[in-house]
Amino acid sequence: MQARWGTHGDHAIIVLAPASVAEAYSEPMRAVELSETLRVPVVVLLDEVIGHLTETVDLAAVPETPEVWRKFATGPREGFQPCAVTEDLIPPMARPGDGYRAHCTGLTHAPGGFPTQVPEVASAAVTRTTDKLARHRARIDSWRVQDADDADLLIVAIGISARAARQAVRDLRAEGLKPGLFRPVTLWPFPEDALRETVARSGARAVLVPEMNQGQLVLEVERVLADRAPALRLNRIDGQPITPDEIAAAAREALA
Amino acid sequence: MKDTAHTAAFDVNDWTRQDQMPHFLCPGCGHGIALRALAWALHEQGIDKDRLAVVSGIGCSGRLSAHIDANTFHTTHGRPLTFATGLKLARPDLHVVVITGDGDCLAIGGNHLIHAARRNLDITCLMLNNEIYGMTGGQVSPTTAEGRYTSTTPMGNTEPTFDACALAAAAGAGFVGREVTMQVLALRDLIRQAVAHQGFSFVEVLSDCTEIYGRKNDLGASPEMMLAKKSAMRPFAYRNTVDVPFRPNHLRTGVIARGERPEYGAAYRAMAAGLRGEEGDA
Repeated sequence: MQARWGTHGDHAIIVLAPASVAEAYSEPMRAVELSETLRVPVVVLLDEVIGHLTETVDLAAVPETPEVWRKFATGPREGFQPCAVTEDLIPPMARPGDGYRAHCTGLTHAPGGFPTQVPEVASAAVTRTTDKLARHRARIDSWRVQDADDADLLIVAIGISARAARQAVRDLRAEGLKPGLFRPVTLWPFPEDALRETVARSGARAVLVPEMNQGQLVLEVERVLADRAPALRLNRIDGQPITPDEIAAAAREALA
Repeated sequence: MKDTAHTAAFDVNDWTRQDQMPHFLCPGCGHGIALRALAWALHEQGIDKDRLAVVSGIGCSGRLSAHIDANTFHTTHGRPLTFATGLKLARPDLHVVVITGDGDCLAIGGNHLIHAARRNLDITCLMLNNEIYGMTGGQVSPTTAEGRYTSTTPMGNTEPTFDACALAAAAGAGFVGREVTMQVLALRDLIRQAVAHQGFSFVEVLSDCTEIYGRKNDLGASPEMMLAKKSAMRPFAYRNTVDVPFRPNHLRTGVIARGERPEYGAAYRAMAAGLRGEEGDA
């Protein structure tokens, strides 16, 4: 489990997946905002093609650096608990120099901040961090749709594959076919409710997941949609990006 | 609160968190001596505990930060210097001390050590060298002596050892020193100089791992291990006057290297102030 998932335990973090140069500006701003206000690491990951893109960006439309900060501890120093279970599950952070002299550790810890091996306390500490993200999903989840309201086939893609899918949807719509696109912008936690609702609303008979591997995102899509819609795969593992034509061809076949 | 010159006598209990006792160190472990020497040096230096941040990594050394009554951070393996770099840049008003081990600092975090030394940010790095990954089961480390047995070198270690002080000095650390745990007062004074130094200071403490390393190599109990360390050292005050009775290639103690270079935090803030059209604070 450690080798497969990067951890054998549970840790809730947020991953944002920009699909344009404009989002390479705006999503880091959102990452700072989420990270500061939720007190959680946020990872912004571009794929190689997006990372090398040159395109016109309207910088005026890019959000300002967010003026948000994590909650800092105030109030009595005595008895302060740096990892207390607060109402919003986001404990205020003891700022060094403010007199709290708190301890911070990566080990499973008690509300007081120090490591613990007491089973129920350890369990509560892990549950708090995962519950925290669950509690704030409305702020975390982010996705974009294109022509999804009446789609017979929904394409689910991220990064450069989503850019190719966007063009494929345009081309197929011009032919009179009805594909749509669902693009997670927040990749983890996966926007599962939004995907289920989009499929239900559109009445799509199937989903198509183009990705540059042997099928990773599709596993999440299969989990989320289960019996609702079959997930078709379109994969390239030869180092070349998937083209709009390839996606269009796969979509035509699926819609036939 | 400002740092004040110490007047009271040193009491280690003033610097340690009593609710975190008992500590988890093995009987005979040298790390507790290093912890005491650090607290003593901070006391003598008049450091205010509220303005002290102690950042540690993973391993036996990493667990020490929890025992110090200050702002303490038990961070990820090999990365205490990176956490400390961010902390010191954001909060130059804090005294930032890093506690790390030979595996944490030289293997997993070796990259961070050389760049911390190169930048010369005002951090004090205390590397507790017990020649072994003790906590994880006694695996070979970059400072395990040649020929020694560990759980991953059951036939004896064939890798040459790292001279951490030479590495830190070569990478640009402004203050580099080494001491054995047996010389508590000298260790205290060395740490005090390191804390007072404006820039990156590196102190290697030759500690001992009695339970895991000493036992496997039949090095005796803690007193024997400490005495062996001490007898193998060449105090810096001896300079090059004699090679005998010191065995060749053995390490020196005391201040190994010292130099004045621009402190990174001040240079960074001066540049930032210049870009804002303000007078620099350097």
